[in-house]
Amino acid sequence: MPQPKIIIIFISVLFFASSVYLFAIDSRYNDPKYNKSWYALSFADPKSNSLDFAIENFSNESDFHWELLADKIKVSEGDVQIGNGEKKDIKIDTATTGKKTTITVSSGNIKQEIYKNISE
Amino acid sequence: MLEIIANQILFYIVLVFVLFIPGYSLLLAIFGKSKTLSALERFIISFGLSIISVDFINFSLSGLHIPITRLATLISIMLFILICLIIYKFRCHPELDSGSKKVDSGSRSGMTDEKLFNFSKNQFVLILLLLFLTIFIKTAYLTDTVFPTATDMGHHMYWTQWMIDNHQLPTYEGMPDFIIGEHVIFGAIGLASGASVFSAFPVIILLLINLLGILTVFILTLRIFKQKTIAILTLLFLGVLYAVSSPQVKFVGGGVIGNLIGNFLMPLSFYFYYRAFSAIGGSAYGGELQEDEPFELSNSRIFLALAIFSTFGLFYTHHLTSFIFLFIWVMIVLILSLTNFKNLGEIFRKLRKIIFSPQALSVFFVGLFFFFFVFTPNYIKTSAVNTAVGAPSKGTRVGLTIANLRSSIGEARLALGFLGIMILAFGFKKRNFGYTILAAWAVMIFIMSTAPHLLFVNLPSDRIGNYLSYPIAILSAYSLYFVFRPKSELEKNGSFIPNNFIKFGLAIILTFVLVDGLSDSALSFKNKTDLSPVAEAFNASNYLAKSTTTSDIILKDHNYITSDSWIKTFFMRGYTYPLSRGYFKRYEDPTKPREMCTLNMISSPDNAAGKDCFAETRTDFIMINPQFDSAQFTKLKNFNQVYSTSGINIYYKNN
Repeated sequence: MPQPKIIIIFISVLFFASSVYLFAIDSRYNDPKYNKSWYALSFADPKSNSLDFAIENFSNESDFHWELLADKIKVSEGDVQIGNGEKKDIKIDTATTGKKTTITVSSGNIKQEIYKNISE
Repeated sequence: MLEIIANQILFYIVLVFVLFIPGYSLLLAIFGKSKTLSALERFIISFGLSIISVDFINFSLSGLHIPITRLATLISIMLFILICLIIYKFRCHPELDSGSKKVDSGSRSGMTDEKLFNFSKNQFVLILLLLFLTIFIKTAYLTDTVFPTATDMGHHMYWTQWMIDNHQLPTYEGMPDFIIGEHVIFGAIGLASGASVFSAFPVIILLLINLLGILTVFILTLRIFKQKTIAILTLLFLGVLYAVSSPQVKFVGGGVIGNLIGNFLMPLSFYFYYRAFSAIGGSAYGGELQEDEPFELSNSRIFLALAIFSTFGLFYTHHLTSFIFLFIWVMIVLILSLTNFKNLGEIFRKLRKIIFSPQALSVFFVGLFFFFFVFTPNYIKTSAVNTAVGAPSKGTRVGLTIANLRSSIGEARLALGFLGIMILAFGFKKRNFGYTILAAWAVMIFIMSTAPHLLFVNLPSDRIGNYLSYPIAILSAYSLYFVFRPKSELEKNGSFIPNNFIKFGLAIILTFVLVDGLSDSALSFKNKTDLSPVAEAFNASNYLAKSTTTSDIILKDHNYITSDSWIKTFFMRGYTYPLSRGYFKRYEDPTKPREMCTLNMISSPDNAAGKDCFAETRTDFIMINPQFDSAQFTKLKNFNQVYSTSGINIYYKNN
C-alpha cells in the first residue's frame, strides 16, 4: 500500500480512537465518581407560598434529615432515604405566615437550607 | 448501551458525510483522478473544501428561505455531492490527466509529485511517530477539558443550538463578534446526527480541525521547500512541541472556534495560492525566467479558483484571521515587488493569464454575490472594521514584547524561528512564491503583534501573536534543517565544519528544543478535576429553566460560577438571557463605559442604585456562588432563597 494511504489510515484510526475515548468520558460531570458529594435542595414552586421542597442526591449518602423552622423554631421534621442520582419530593402541609420559614436538610457532613419570607 | 453505540456510529457517518465527502467530491469534479494532488493532499484538502461547501450550501438554503432541518441538510449536501459526481463522470480531464506525471512546476530538483510524497523508511516511521504523539498529547489534555466548561465554547454552542432549534441561520441579534462560518458545520452535524452540544462532539470537531491545520502546514512546507526533512520537522515543531499552548489544544478545549478554523483555512488558502502562482517563477525558481518553460496554466487557474473559494470560506468564518490574512497579502505584494523588481512586467503578464481566467473570475464573482446579496457576515454590516483600525485604545493593544512572544511561542521555537527568517532572507529564492508567502506570513504577524501602531492596528496584540506560531514553526524547521542538514549537502555547499561537531551541536539544540517544547505538555497529565461545580451549575440552570417563564428575568454571576456561559443554552430565551455580572474589571474600563446594574444588583442589592436597577430591569431571580455572595441577600426580607447546593444559591425577589 502507498505510504500516503497508510498515513491517512493511521491518522483516521488515531482520531477515531481519540474521539471514542473523549465521548466515553464526556458525561463524567454527571458521574458521582468524578464529583464531590453534593445534593441540591429546592422549593418545588419558588414563586408561591408553598413550602413543598425537593432533594436531589448526587452523593454516596442516602440518609437525609429535614427540619421545618418558623423564625428559627422547629415546626416539623422528618427523615428520608434517597439513592444516588435520585430525586425526592416532600410535601409540607404546615402553613406559616408573616415569618421567615426555613427548610434545613442535613446528610453526612453537609447541611443546606432554603427559606421563604412569607407575607401575611 | 445499544443506543449509545448506534448514536456513535451515526455521528461518525455524519462526520464523514458533512466534513469529508463534499470536498472530496468537489476535488473529483475538478481534478478527476489525476495525480495533480497526492492522496494525502486530497485527504487533507477535502476537509477544508467540505467546511466551505457546507457553509455555502447553508447560505443557499437560507437565501431560498428553505428551513434548515435535518432533512434539508441531508438532501442539500447529498445533492451537492451528486452534482459533483455527475460532473466527474461526464467531464473529461485530459489536460489535467496528461499533466499528472509531469514535473511539478516549481521543483528545482525535478522531483515528481509521487517522489515528493514517497518517504524513506526512517522518515515514514518518524512521521507516524510524530502523528501519534501529536494526537496522544492533545487527547490527554482534553481528558480533563472536554466537559462543557469553556466560556467561548458556551457562547458558540448557544448559537449552534439556536440554529438547530430554529431551522435557520442565526443573525446574532446584530452582534459583530460572531461569524456564521463558526457555527454552520456544528449546526449541520448537530442537526444530522442529533448529537447534543453538551456532549464531546464540538471538542472532537475542533480537535479534527486543529489536526488538519497542522497537516495543511505539513503539505504546504513540503511543496514550498521540496524537502521532506523540513516538512517532518514542521510536524515536530507544530504538532508535538508546544502541543498544548495557544493556539493549539488549549484553543480546542476552550472552544476558540474562529481562530482554529482560521488557522486551518489560512494555510489552506496559502497552499492554493502557492500552487496557483508557483508557475510565475518558472520551473527553476532560482534562475531567470525562460519563455519556453512549462507553464501549467490550466492547473494554476484551477488552484487560484480554489484559493479564492478558500478565501471566501475564511472571510465567512473569522474576521480577525481575515484581517491578518489581508495584511499578509499586502506584505506578499510588497516582498514580491521588491525582490522581483526587474521582472515585474514578466510576472504581471503571467499573473494576468492566471487571474483573468473563467475559473478564477467565476468563483470570485459568485463568492462576491453570496457575500453581499445572499448572506453577509455581521462584521461587514457593523463598524467592526472601524474598531479594528486606528491607534491602540488599550494597554493590551500596544504590542507584545519579545518576552511576551517568548512565552506565547516558546523560547526554543522563537529562537530558531528568528534564525530561520534570517537564513530565508539571506538565501531568498525570489522566484519561489512559497518563500514570499512564508516571509510575509511571519514578518507581517510579527509587526502586527509587536508594533501595531505602525500599521494602525487596534486589536488585542496577544490574539494576533497567537497566529505567529504557525509560520515560526516552519521557519524553525527550516533553520534546524539548514544548519544541521546531511553531510553530503554541506560538503556540496563547501562547508568545512567537522561532522562530529555538527552531530554534537544537533544533539544539544534538539535537547533544548524538546525540553522546552514538551514542558507545556506536562499540563496534559494533570490530576483529575473535580467536576461537581459544573454539575451544580447545570442542575441549578435546569431548575430555573423549569420554574420560570419568559416574563421572569434572571441574573447570574460570571465571576464565581463555573460553566456559566453555558447556562443560556438551558433557556434559549436570547443570547443575553440570563443577565450576567461580568468580570469586575470590565466595570472599570475607562475606554468603554458599561451599564452598572448587573454589578449593583448582586454586589449591593439593598442600596439605592441596586433597588433602582431591580425596578428598571424587573430582575426577580439571582443565581450566585454562596461562598462569595450570599451574605447580602440573606439579610434582606424581600428575597427568598429557593435553591441551594454547596456551590450555587438561587434567590427569588418576592416583591
